[in-house]
Amino acid sequence: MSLSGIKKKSIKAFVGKISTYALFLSYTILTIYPLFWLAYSSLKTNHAIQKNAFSLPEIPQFINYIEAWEIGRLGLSFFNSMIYTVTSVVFVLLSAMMASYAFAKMPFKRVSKYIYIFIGFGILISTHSVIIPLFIMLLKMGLTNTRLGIILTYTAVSLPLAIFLGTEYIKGLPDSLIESAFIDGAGNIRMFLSIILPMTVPVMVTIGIMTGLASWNEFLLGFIISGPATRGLPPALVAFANPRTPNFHLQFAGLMISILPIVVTYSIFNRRITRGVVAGAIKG
Amino acid sequence: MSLQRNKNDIPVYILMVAPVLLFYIIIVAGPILFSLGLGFTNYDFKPNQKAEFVWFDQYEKMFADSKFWTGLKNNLFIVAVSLFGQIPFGLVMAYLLYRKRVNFANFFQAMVFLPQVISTVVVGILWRNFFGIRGAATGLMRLLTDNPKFVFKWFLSPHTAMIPVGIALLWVYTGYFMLVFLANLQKFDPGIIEAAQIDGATETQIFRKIIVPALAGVIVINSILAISGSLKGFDLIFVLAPNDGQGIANANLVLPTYMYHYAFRANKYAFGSAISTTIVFISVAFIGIASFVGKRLNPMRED
Repeated sequence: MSLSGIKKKSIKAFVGKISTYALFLSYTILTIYPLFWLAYSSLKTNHAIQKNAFSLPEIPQFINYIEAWEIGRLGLSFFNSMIYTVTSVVFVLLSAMMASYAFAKMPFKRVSKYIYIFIGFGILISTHSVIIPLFIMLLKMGLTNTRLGIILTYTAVSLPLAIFLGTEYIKGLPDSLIESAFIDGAGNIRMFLSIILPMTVPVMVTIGIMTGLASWNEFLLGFIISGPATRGLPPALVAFANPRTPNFHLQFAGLMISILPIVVTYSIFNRRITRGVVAGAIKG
Repeated sequence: MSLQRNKNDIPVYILMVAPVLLFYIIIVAGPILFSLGLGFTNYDFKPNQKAEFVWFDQYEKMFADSKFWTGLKNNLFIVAVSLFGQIPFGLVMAYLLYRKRVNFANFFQAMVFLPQVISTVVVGILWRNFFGIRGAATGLMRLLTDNPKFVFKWFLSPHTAMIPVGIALLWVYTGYFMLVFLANLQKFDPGIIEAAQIDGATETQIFRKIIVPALAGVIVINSILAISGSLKGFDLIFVLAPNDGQGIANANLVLPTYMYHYAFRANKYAFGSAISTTIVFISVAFIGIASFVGKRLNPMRED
């Protein structure tokens, strides 16, 4: 190859590299800028937002957060969301890991297979195909507008994916381990508590994150089932951010209140979260 | 499997499986069957109302309703955005990241994925405030065009009302598909690409002739996920589409919001159930088509 040929090639590679970077950089900016815009707009006055939507805040209005917290009663919803997230994570982990162990390592393989497939369908189901009967049932049981109703629902809808992830993980643990523990005289329950659970910490973290995110962000079920005193943040934000009364500064502060815990969690666990969400998708 | 049975296996098994199974039957499986049945009746749970079995009356009413067809059309638009937008963009970007033509790959990955973990409600309100007539897009256009009276009105015309929805969906899900493709590319043997390069293949050729065929199965699975996701999405569009004051009513209707309005605003539960059963059937049909086409196109099929 002639010298000019090499030069031409390296110029081409350089241009390719530059345009690739330009693509990624502009995509990243497009992704991040709306969130950044939300963050700094939440510190502006309503007047300033309406006058110039893109200017930076002159004096940061931290009072927006206090007002959103109190006027929008977002404090109460934040507290509710915390309760729903924590309890559904605990319930899902407890019940899903028990079932996963039973499906993966206990006898009755045939029964397990049928139940496992039956529950697996739940991964494909969307909440709006259960919401009408569920609402009527909870209404008749007096569980609408109660925290218990929400906790039970959020736990149930997160179970199928959790059981799938848990069962596949435990299937991968060696049988010999369990056999030797049985020979040493351990019963099923002791085996589960002292051998299986400690070995499944990684998948439990994944399940916990997936369930926590789902419960923190869930909207439709909460919107239908809960009332002003029992709703979590997403339905509360929708009620608060009514387009007829555009108090943008408070809306934005409210949105930030709901995003911040997620962004903090994401910056700590981002590898695990991405892996968990992707694992949830590749179930085939 | 040669795991030994223990004498207390049966009670322990029941103890471990029963809670999950009960939960699932009462809150997920039972309601689905109930909903299927309810769609064939006229029972709306009004006091003193007598339930009657009306066969396909609710479905006939639905198919005669022009709002149903608007919803279906908008749902198909969303399916198209995900099949021809999110998936190809995600694939190309995953490929570029995979070929290590980019430093800070982890940083880009983390940033691009961020919208995925944020509540769809927040995303909806955010983009509504951007594209709404009093939103930031209006402000931006006023600055750019120097016209203080300019009003951004995509939401006001039935022809453009769905564009902001498409943009918001691309914004959220492209990063997600990118990561799924990247996870699969990382399992791919780089030796094949090196061999092709030695033979003089260009990047575009490698992408088209090696990567896309090798990922055909994954592309099909993701198309299926995208389709079923597009048909069941509720939150984002419910929040984003301004259904009072700012937009034209119904221009942004999709089937799930159509169902919501009948079931929970008009309390027509039986009719709502018929709609939600229809949504399930449409997704099953689409998934069937996607997996059939995918099997046909997949050159590496084994079965």
